[in-house]
Amino acid sequence: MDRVIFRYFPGDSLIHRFDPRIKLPGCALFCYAALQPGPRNLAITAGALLAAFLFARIPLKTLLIDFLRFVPLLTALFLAVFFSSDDGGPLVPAALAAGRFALLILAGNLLIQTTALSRISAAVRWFLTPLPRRLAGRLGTMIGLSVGLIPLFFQELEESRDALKARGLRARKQPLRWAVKLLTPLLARVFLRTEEMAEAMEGRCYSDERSSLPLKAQGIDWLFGLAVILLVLAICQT
Amino acid sequence: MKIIETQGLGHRFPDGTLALNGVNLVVEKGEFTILAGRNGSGKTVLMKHLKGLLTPSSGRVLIHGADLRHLPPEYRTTVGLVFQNPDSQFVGQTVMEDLRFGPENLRLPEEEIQRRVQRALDITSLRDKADRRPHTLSGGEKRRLAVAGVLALDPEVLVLDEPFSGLDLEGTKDVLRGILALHDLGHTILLITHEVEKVLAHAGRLVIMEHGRVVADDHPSALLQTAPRFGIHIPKKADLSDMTWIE
Repeated sequence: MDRVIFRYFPGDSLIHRFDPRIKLPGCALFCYAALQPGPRNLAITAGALLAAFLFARIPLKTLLIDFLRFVPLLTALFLAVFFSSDDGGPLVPAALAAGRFALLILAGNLLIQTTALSRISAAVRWFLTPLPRRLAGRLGTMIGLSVGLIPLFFQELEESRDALKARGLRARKQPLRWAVKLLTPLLARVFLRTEEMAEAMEGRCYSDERSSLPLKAQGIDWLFGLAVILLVLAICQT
Repeated sequence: MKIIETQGLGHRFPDGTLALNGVNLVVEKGEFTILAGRNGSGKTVLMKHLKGLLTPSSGRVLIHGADLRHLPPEYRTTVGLVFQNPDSQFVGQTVMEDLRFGPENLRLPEEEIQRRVQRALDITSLRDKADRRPHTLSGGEKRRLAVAGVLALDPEVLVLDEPFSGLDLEGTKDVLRGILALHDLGHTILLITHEVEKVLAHAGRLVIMEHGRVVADDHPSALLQTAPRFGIHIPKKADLSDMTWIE
């Protein structure tokens, strides 16, 4: 099945249609809520995020499989907190830290999965309206493209990894050699792809001052924003 | 009527390699031209110059008589460039979003952007794929999307770099039909390929490059004997009318 994590997943759900000018700060506020201490807060934010994924009709099984690639990172975080914690039993804080980090990854992923790049760029440009138009346009495109390049990076990573595997070099057997051999072609390929993309953009008359996708906030968008604010307030007051 | 003209066009890379060496080429309105030659003969570099993506080391490129260097990027829409690797050209996360990219760069009003996007979808028969992610399309569909993205800029001349590379029979036929349809609609076509046997029957002109120079420029029928000398495969005993993958 096609990978879904950190990739736009076209759809027409409510989550997809929310105005990105409310969705972006909403996501930031949600992340703030997810970082608040305590297992109860973690459970509430995890529940809210799961509901959002279900609303957005993201295939959870595929997402879960894709998410497994973050397990080494989460394990490293867990172990780091586990061995550095000195208050009470270190198991709970370590698990909470890993859980919070997982939530941050998933919240960012949900934003990317349900918001087209052009809408993110348009929202960023809107937030940067006080800046000169050309600078705002450039920053909007840069942020949008950075988000868009994440799946490109993963794709190149997978191809480079498979190429190494096909030639008998596996991470488990020779991790250091594997990492060195992976990094060089990976970076070369990513730079080549980005250069080709830049050339193609120029070929399509790229300009910093572009027409922006029209955005329109409706009642439901404000309700969404209000719901996130209430969630954050509820969590912060406990 | 001349649309593109290169006058003594030269390009030298920073490492000293001479990629183009005094290229003089005129592209007339409505032509279907094939540009062929060995790898490294300078075809792709020439193509990039026609769009103004490179700065000539010598000579100049004229578009409708005006020096391309003096035109701001947003006015360089006469020539539409379709690169060889379609995957690197997609900047939108859906087909529709990708098609909007060009017109948005031209700062067109929303109604005009919509009109151009719909027209490009219709011409390339991608309307039913509008909400798909570009990377999930088939090889032929990706090529058509790359063409559609350029068509949304409303160019007069379409320059296509190796549009058949990596495509199977059906994909090649699909793309070739699309190119012929665009020519029928009045677009001038400049097609860069070394697989001339797939398309030569439809072309009115064959230009051959070697070592950064144009070494032959004539009707394809006049160059059938000469072309193999420059590394271009011409099937033995083949008639010019057989050189197409469309029955």
